[in-house]
Amino acid sequence: MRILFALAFAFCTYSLHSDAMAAHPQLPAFERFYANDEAKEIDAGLYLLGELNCVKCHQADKQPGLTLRSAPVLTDVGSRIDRQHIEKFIADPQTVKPGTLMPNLFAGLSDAEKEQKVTALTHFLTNTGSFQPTPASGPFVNKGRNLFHQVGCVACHGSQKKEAKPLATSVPLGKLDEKYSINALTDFLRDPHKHRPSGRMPNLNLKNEEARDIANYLLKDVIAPANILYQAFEGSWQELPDFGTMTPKSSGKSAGFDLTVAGKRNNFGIRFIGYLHIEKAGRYNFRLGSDDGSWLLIDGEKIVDVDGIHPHSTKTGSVELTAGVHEVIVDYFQGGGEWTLAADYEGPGVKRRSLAADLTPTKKKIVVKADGDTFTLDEQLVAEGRQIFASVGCANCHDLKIDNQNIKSTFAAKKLAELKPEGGCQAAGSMKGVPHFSLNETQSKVINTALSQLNSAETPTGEQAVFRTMATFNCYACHARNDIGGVEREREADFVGTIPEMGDEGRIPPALTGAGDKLNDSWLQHILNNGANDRPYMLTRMPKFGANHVKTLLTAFPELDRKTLSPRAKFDQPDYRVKAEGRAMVGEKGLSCVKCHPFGNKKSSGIQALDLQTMSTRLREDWFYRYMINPQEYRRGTRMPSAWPNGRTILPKVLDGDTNKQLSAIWMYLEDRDKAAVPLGVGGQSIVLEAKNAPIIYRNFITDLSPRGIAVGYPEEAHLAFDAEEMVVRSIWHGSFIDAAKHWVGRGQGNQNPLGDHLVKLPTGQPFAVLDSLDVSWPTDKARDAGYSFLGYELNKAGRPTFLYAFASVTVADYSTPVPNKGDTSFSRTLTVTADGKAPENFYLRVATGNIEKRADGLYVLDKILELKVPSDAITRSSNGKQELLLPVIFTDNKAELKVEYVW
Amino acid sequence: MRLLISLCLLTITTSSLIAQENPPTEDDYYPLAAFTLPEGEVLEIGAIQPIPDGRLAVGTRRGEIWMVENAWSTDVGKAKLTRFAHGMHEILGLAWKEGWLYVTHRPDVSRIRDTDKDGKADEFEVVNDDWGISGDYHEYAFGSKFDKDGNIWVTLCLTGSFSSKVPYRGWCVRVTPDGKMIPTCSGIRSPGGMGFNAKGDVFYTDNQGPWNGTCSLKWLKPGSFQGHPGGFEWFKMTDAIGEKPTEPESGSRIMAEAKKITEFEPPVILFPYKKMGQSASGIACDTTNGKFGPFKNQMFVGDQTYSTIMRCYLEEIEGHYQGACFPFRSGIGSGTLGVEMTESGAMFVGGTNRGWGSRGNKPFSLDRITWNGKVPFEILEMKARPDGFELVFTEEIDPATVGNLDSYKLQTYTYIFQSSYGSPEVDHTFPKITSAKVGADKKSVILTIDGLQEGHVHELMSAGVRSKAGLPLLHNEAYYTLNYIPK
Repeated sequence: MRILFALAFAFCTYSLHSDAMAAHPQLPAFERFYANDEAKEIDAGLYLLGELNCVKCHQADKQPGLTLRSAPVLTDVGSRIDRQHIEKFIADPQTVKPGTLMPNLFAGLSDAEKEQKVTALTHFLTNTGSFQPTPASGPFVNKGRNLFHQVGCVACHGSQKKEAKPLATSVPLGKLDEKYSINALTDFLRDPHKHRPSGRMPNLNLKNEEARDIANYLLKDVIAPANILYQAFEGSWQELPDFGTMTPKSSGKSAGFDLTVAGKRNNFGIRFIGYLHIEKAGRYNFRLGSDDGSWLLIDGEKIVDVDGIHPHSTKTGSVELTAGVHEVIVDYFQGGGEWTLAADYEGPGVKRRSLAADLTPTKKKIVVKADGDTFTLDEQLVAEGRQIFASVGCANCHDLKIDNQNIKSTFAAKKLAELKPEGGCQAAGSMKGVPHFSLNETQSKVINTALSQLNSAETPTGEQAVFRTMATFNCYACHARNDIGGVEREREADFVGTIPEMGDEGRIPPALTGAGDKLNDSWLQHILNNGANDRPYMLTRMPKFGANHVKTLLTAFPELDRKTLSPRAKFDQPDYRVKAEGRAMVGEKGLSCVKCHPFGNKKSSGIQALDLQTMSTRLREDWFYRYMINPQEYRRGTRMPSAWPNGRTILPKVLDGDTNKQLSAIWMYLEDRDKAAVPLGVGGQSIVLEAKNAPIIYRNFITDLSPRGIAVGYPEEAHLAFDAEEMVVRSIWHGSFIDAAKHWVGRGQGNQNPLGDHLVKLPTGQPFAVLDSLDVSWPTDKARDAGYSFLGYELNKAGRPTFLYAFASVTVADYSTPVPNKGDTSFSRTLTVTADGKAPENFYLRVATGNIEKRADGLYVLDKILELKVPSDAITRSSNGKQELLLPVIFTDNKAELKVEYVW
Repeated sequence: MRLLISLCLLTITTSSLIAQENPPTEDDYYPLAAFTLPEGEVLEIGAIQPIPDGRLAVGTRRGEIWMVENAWSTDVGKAKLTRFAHGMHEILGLAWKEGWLYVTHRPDVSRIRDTDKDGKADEFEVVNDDWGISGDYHEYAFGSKFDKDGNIWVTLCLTGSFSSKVPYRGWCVRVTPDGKMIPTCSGIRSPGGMGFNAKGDVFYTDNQGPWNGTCSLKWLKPGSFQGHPGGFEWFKMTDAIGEKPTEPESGSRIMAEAKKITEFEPPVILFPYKKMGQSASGIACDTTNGKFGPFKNQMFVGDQTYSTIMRCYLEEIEGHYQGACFPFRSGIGSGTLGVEMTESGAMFVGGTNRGWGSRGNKPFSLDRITWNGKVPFEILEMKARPDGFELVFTEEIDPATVGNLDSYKLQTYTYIFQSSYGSPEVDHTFPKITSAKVGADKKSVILTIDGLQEGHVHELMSAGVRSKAGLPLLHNEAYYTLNYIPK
């Protein structure tokens, strides 16, 4: 009797104590924004009604802005979660995982009743799959620790470092090592929405190995059962030796393929021996991966061979297995460096699973558990559990498919509107047959307030709707908006970047104040759908939430934020010239944007800020103009300088010193994205060839030319590229000549674009042809196939080349000279054609193809860029859908001279 | 008397001790002088040609040609470099004829000259450009000097290592004096240099990769197949060298295939990978009649990775060239590329390590190697015999060590002849040297060997050999590629 009393007393004390400390559903937004704000009481209650999924049991005709949170999908849960964890968790969720949203379904039952129901449910859930814990692998754990603390996990879950204090505003993780296997957690991290469709846990776009590493880190304390026999050897090998003939240094039982059993990091080998129990005969596939070598033997036959010294590499093999027990041997050796070993298998009725987990140390089929626990599935309990799952409310919240059919709930509760403010689920005590949520006082209070105001409560709109969404999905953990939220001081140190000189801009995610003004619709949608990685220097990733979850933001951001104030400037010049000005301003001789901003894969010379090629993809043009004039107004504390302080340019000579024109030119240039010519000063080493006194000849691989390209750079800053395969001047441009770094640093692969601006492409293919009539289209054979041959070139006193080539009976000398103009330099080109023997008739030079207009002053204009001054007998014609400008070649004494002037 | 003997013994011991403590080095016989190249300029020298007016022309990978005045001056500091031409595309061959400098570069063989005598080339005339280039950096064209018929031989690297995307990649062609192109050999992979032997036959170096287990010196016998079938497609364009040979079988051995494929000319000398070098390059032949020392008519081959010059002794067996290679000179400033022997006995060596690393740590270099008149103790010749080898030395030898079997170590091996990249050494054997008979001239030895291996490299280390003066060999390694055992 005394004992009983003592026990009862102890129990009471515990309860009281527990009430005071109150483990309760822990939601970051509730703790951060609602718990201490009386003005938000109704909203807080509505928020909790959504997060706790109340309407799944309590039907509601009116759901004023509840953001429902679907519970985890439990299909196949038995293959993902440890049975013992399932059992303990169902029995007392809040103790096993303090802060969980899962209610205790059996709170009011007697111990015996409760145990009976928990056991049955456990049998049912366990029966949905098979689960074996796996030990973590040392090298992965360390990588995973770093990733966990860098990619953004800490924003919601908090630092897991020893010295870190748990925060009330964190999402609790619980004891993951008692819950998951490494495979299951890896799969979950790769695609969290699959089993947690609520989207609260976003998808961080982890690569397979990243998910594996984080899973290893989170499960580093898993105690896996020793289920495999091992023999460890020492030695230095290039290939696996025959362990069968060697004496092991040590032997014993290992938990999975645990490479630490050898007690060494380098120069060791291990033979693992276990037994695999096959239920269905058939063909089984085995996958084995290791660093360094390994192989897999089944019943003495080598199935997979990954022998040799190498980084982690994986191979597969398959074998026909009979039902029954099979001996499995995995031999492994490690030389130096990293060490890994992993194996899985699949076959009839067995989805891909860890091989190590399914092996037993003897031929007897036993389920081995770390603590000696044994467990046998009881079909009757499984059936009972299934019935309980449907009847007590599990199925109201959790999807669980058996044979592709969701289990239907048979549990019904009062409608939401009929609920009384006291008692029920959120009561302080526990009631039989009623789920108990362990709400704390504040939570209860706000729920009751919300219930009482249900009829008058409105669905939040505008900024309030944004707030609710950002709170629900914990966007505020990373982003502030209108001075609400943002990285909490306690977590701030865990946000890191790769470029320390960028300061907070390089590590703290940007504020979303004005986000709808800044980002264009498609990019906003893209980010919310897919996540983003536009700031590669920031290690915290913008994860994928799925636009269906956060669709409110898609419409609300633009509605609330967007301004239209700054139109694009109007220009007299053609676009290509405007863009050239934009490019010059972006480059190192202009505003030097490229000192900090890379351009595609070309690095900037200083820090590597946001890529210039992404600007017009992401931003709104209107916002861009305003931002550039006053970055501080839009992004507090940014290091982005303005070249237009108070709206006035620091480049008075560019585009009439007109701020609007300058900004518009930059934007128009950036709109070409990866098609835009690379600005000066990016991409590391450059070898800019500049003709100072005499022309420079550069023979190499040049974009749009055959590999026999001959570029000529003139001091007058008009340049051309002659193709010695096609015998044509293929490209002309202004400004800078060419950057030889692509060809003169390293081996020299790839084509080089001209470095300058105003690039115009002239026709390729045979330059001259005999056309019997003007209805005959221009021949399409390549010049060399048509009999052209390149003869070389001569340089005159000024170093200017005359290109020489021959075709049939004619020889052509093609000479271009730059002519200074009041604007940019133009080219005057003379082609001297000499015939040997009879001069050809109906012989034409093709000057241009494309969009050709004849102007009133007699000039022809190609593609609205290039003015062509040609003799008056020039002919335009339409051929194959394009216009051509032809010059007839009229010989006098077997000689003809053709002059063309190129002005652009 | 006894005292005298003791004294003698003492003297011998002392001198050999001295010899061992301070063994001579390459510098003691073949000093190397490095030119100072013009500040701010980049001269990655791929080709070298002396000009009759006393200047030396050097061609660069950046497509320039520079003229070196005073290139032969004892003091290399007196050299003066001026640019003669620019705008060519990876110059890998220079030759001189009748006032024209012939340039082999990526797109063609051109000839250039300076007509107005202002020191700069102004005529650039294409001699022949009948081969294709697809735009792959690997498609280099290496050019020879003029052969006795006035042809320039050009080896055309494959498109990369395996394939030939445009005509005649993977071929050797001859460009005739009248500008015609004659396809001459197939089977080229990745050349590193071209050159003649004293007789005027044409050779090139090819590099480790597919169908080349290691780098080698190869003889461009007209009509021959050099081992890599990647360029076979172009047999459809020419009948200059007959029908397409049988495809070699991957995984076989060189001599096994040479016996099956009549056109296949096996490599003259295999340069064992990572022993002699990793990237065989320029070729020169000592035709100076003694001005370059004792190695009259022998060939010298560069190695780009090791920044070295190797020496080759060739002999003709059954109508094929084969022979041995020896280390000769290390310490080239950058990765050895162009190598030119000049009449006076000065060897010029151009270097670059752009794209391919080298032991020489300068990015580019021009060096000159001369002979200072002292004869190094070296194996002058290594001649195959039906039952062994005869070694001829440059100096009188010490019969005791040269006659001692323990002075030598011999192993043989070969490489897998295969379509995948390179090969390890395979098929090792360790034949026994059964006798070492010193020649009556005291400058040679005949090694009788039990177990010569046809088709194998015979790696002979003669660490114990001493000269009469007690010196060890300056280089005691010799690698003989025994394709054919003389009968």
